[in-house]
This record gives sequence, structure tokens and C-alpha cells, in this order.
Amino acid sequence: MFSRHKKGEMEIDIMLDEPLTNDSCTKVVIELVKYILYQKQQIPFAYEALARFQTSVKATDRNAVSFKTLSSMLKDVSDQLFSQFFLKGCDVKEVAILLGPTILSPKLCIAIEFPSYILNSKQHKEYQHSSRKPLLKLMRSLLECDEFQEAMNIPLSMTNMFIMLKKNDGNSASDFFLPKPQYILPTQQSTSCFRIKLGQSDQVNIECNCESLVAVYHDSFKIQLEDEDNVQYRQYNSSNQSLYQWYQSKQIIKGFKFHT
Amino acid sequence: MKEENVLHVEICQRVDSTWSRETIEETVSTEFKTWKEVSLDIILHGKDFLNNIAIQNHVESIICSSNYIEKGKVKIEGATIKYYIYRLTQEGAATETMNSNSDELSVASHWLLPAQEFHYMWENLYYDCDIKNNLLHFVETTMLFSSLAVNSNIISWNKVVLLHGPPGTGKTSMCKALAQKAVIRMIDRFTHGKFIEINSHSLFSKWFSESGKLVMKLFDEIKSLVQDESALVCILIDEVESLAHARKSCNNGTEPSDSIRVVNALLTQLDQIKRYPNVLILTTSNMTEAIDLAFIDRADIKQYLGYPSEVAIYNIYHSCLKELMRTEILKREEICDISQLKLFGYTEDSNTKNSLKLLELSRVSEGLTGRTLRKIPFLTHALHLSTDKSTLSKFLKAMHSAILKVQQEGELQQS
Repeated sequence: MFSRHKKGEMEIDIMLDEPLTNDSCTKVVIELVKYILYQKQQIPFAYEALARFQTSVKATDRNAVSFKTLSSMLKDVSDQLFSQFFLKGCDVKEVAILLGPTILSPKLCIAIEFPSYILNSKQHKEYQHSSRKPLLKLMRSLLECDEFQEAMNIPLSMTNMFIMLKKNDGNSASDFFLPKPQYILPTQQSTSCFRIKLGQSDQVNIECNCESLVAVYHDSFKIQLEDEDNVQYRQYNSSNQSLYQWYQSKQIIKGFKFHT
Repeated sequence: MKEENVLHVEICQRVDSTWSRETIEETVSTEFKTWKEVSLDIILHGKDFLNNIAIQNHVESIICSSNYIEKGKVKIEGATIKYYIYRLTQEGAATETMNSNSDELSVASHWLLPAQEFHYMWENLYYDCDIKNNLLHFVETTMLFSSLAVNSNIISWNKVVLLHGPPGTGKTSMCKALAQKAVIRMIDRFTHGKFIEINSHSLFSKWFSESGKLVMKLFDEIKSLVQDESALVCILIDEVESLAHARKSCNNGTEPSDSIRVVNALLTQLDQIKRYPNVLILTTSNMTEAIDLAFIDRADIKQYLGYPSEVAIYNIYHSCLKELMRTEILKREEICDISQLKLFGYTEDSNTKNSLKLLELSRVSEGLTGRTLRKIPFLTHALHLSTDKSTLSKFLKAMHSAILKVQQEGELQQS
């Protein structure tokens, strides 16, 4: 609670060489969540190590059960986040990961700003636009950022993790991400805040040959929706900032301790 | 302040609804215009508005209340209506921690108000006279004075409420319900509320002279929460005598002087924190004689919560039976509330037979605390009924023996 930091938030600008797709956006967020969970000691081992570990023990093992709950929580969030990109009249701009007792008194706050256009992953394929490259770039930047690493090294006892979403939604209900009107990300002294700005360099070529690619037989991407708008990417409008507000994920992510 | 009677309409918006407050208010007020009158202090569930899809989809519940009339109905035409629109937060309590000499202490539980957990708590607390409304008026006045920046050197108020009384009379529940209600009523001024329950026992350190510092540190943390002016911060110190122990009794040497420092730290910190306009301190105790006089002096309202009277008991039982009928443990039967009974002049006929029996039971139960009263329907079912579904008259008969049993136990404990 007493990790007194310089006031205000720290910005981390990341220039991606590759355009992001909806799919890679979601993956980047979830991977970052896993990284933070481990670094802030909310889970006993790195997520991938846990995933391997649980296959080697009995299904009734307490740690395996805890891990299964965690992985289903993450899957839930990831699926819901992904589906937000395809919701009509809904426009996602930012995701924030908050770690702390409540959304108003977090110890750590990481906002991720998406680039102004995101490729539609129903039309762009994973093997053309890999999610590994942007992720690698992000992780490298985070490792190089001393302030971020310093914040990661402050130990934290078991607490809650909230996933927040900033979007402009014209629909009358939002059942997984619950609306929090008037909410603003906290700027208290006891919170370390980071803003990761994902951007693309201008020379990025968004023209690709995904459209003309021959679909691999029995490939899961074969389900090209016919009625899908023929947009290659979506772009949010920066003129109506006030329409964007925060939504809180219904699922609160909680880590666990290792039981011996 | 006997001005015009205002009808307070509290609308709980569904958590997944993205509509703005204005739209919700408009929808409800157009619906209300088609009504002649509305019942007070009754929960109207949004899903019961069968001919209004918008309300069904966007409103969880509506509660109407008025300052001067309890229960009964109010004509909508000509009434001044004030709307309060709020959403509930779903999360339960979160633990706030604090570092002290490399130990991490869990010092407080933190709720965001209006919270799901405290929903309908206010409506289910029954007291005589106007205790509930008086407390609410106190909070409203406090916030009014603070927001208008009344000079506190001329008019003094400390923002401290002390509720005292025997155990099980609903002091802690009252604090929680009051905080929730205050946040809802002042939703225009504060966008949300924070409810912080201090774990006073965790503030005593094993190191001599550290305890006072821990209290200081805790209040430092609270101050950082109070910085956010759009939030109403309610601080609950339950069983306040553990922090504000009478210093006089330390003279005989049974208490370490460290606990005196805790009291001193608390008193000075209270004086500091009252300068913030959005703070409210709620305290409870059932040992008033053990509390330090200087602390009692700082409390603006010292409200005694005692054993419920016959009418309050009737209301409590009535709500219990209603709940049993809702969950279908009891067969649905008509049961009058107290104002209806009064209207009928307590005459017995087929309609009021069961209600009068319940009134009799309430008379028998006098002297029991609210907590015990709420336990009685459970004990009745556990001890005397074996069937899944029973009739009301059978249940009331069983209730009588359960009450007698509880009273016997109470007498045994005392002797």
C-alpha cells in the first residue's frame, strides 16, 4: 500500500511493425494478464508452467483445481473480449488491467490503448498476421522499461484483478462488461499507473493478400460470414470522445497460492 | 422543516443496462403518470411491470418513500417527486492491506456502494418512531453543511454517529444500511460511495508504542481514499470501545499505556478527518460505559437501539413469513400488515384470524432481540415441522413453541 511513486501515470509508447487483428488484440491482453499475475505473485508459477503441471497430477489435486478455475476465468474473459470486437454498434478503444481490492483503490493500473485501426480477424488470417510478433515487441518494451519492472517487483498479497474495457456501445444492454458511467481510472498516489499505447508506424502496409488466399480445406476460418460488412478494418472515431465510457468485466480474476 | 411532502423514488437500474439516467427517469415518470397512487416502502420489482418492456429490461426495482408517512399509499398527482437512479456493484467486500515493518496487515474491508450485499437492508430494519429517518436526515444535514462550507468554528459538527444498545439489535446492519441509503439519496452529489469497515483488533501491535502509529497510518490511508471528492466515504468502527477505551480506567494499571496512545491517536485523527466534506464516521458499541468520554463527546448523534416493540416485532415476523411464502416453504396465504389490522379495528374474522394470532405471538416475543426474532422462523421449521410445505396456521402454532423454547434458553443463560 505504501509504494509511493511519482505522481501521474507513466506512458509506454510501442510502435508495432505489424497491424493488429482482433484476435491478436485479445491475445496480447490475456498474455499480459498472465504475465502480471505471475510477476505480482498472484499465481505460484508462470502460467505455462502451471498448465504443464496440472496435466501431471491427479485431477483432484487442489492446485490443479485452482488452476482450472483460473484458466476458465481467463478463457471466459478472453472470449467475451473477443466477441466485443464483433458486436454491432460497439467500438472498443482501451482495456485496463487493475490489480487491487476494488476498482477505485487499485495498487497497479495498466491501461492498454489499441491502435486506431484493427484488422478484422474474420477476414485476416492468423498465419498472415501472427499475434506473436506484436506480443514480442510489447514484452521487450516492458522489459526495457525500468519503471515498469520496478512496479512489477513490489510484492503484493493476494488480491483481485479487474479487467476494464473502454468502449462506445450503442446497444441497450451489456451483460458481461457492466457499465460504470462516470468511472475514471484512479490517479491516487498509492497507485502505480501505466499506459501502454499500441501504435503502428506509418509505413505499415495494411494491404495484404488475405482476401485472395485459398482457404485451407477444413480450416476453422472457413466460416466466412456472408453478411459480414466488407470492412477490412475498423477505425474508431476520435471526435466523439465523450461517448466512450468504462465497462467492468463481471469476472474478477483471482489467483491462488500453492498448496503443498 | 415541515415543508411540502416529497415523494422519494429510488430506482435501481439493472447492472447490464447501458441507458443514461435521464432516459431511465423519463421512462419511469411516464409510467408513473398513468398511475393514480403508489404504495410506500414496498419493493416494486422491474420484472413485474408486465406492460412496460423498457422498465422490465432496464429497471431492477423501484422503492418509493416519504419522510412523514410510513406505509400506506400516496397519490401521485400533485406530489413533488424526486428520482434517484443508481446501479448496484456486484462485488463483495475487499480487504485493504497496509504494510507495517514488512508485515502486511489486513486493516479494513472495503465495499463500493451501492452494493448488492446491502440491498433491501434498510427496508428490512424495523424500529419504532422515526429512528431511521432521523439518522438519514442527520447524514443529509451533515453533507449539506459541508457542501455549503458552513464555518465549523461557528457551528460545530463532527460527522460521528454512535449507535449503542444490547447485542443483536441491528447496530452494524443499521450502519451498513444507512451508508447505502445515504449514497443513494445523494447520488446527485456523489457518484458512488465507499464503505470501510475497520478491523480495530488488527491495529494493536506486538511492539510497545507501535499501536498508536498504526492508527495514524490507517487514517493516512483513509485520507488518500477521501481525496476523491466524488465519493462519499463511510467509515465503520464496529465495537468502538476496543479503540476508544476509557482512559480513566487505565489509572489502576491493568491496561498498558499503549492503549492510551491508541485512544489519543484516534481522537486527534478524528478531528483531522472531519475537515473533509465527504466523510462520515459510523461507530457502534454495546458497552457505552467503557468508551472514552472524549470520544462520546465527539459523537453528534448518540442513538440507542433497544429491543423491538410489539409493532416492530409484528413487522419483522410479517416480513419473515412473506419470505417463506416467496420461497414456497409456506403455502401462499393472505396476511395483513399492521396498518391494515388497525384499519379493521383488530376484529377477528376469517381474514384476520392468522394475523391476530401473529400479533399475539409478537406480544409474547417482547424482550427478544432482532437477531433472535429473525432466527425464530428457521428454528420453527427445524424443530417442529417435518413437511416441506405447511399451512400458515400450523406454522404459527409451531412458532409459538419455538418462541417459548428460545425464551427458556434465555432465562437459563441469565440465571
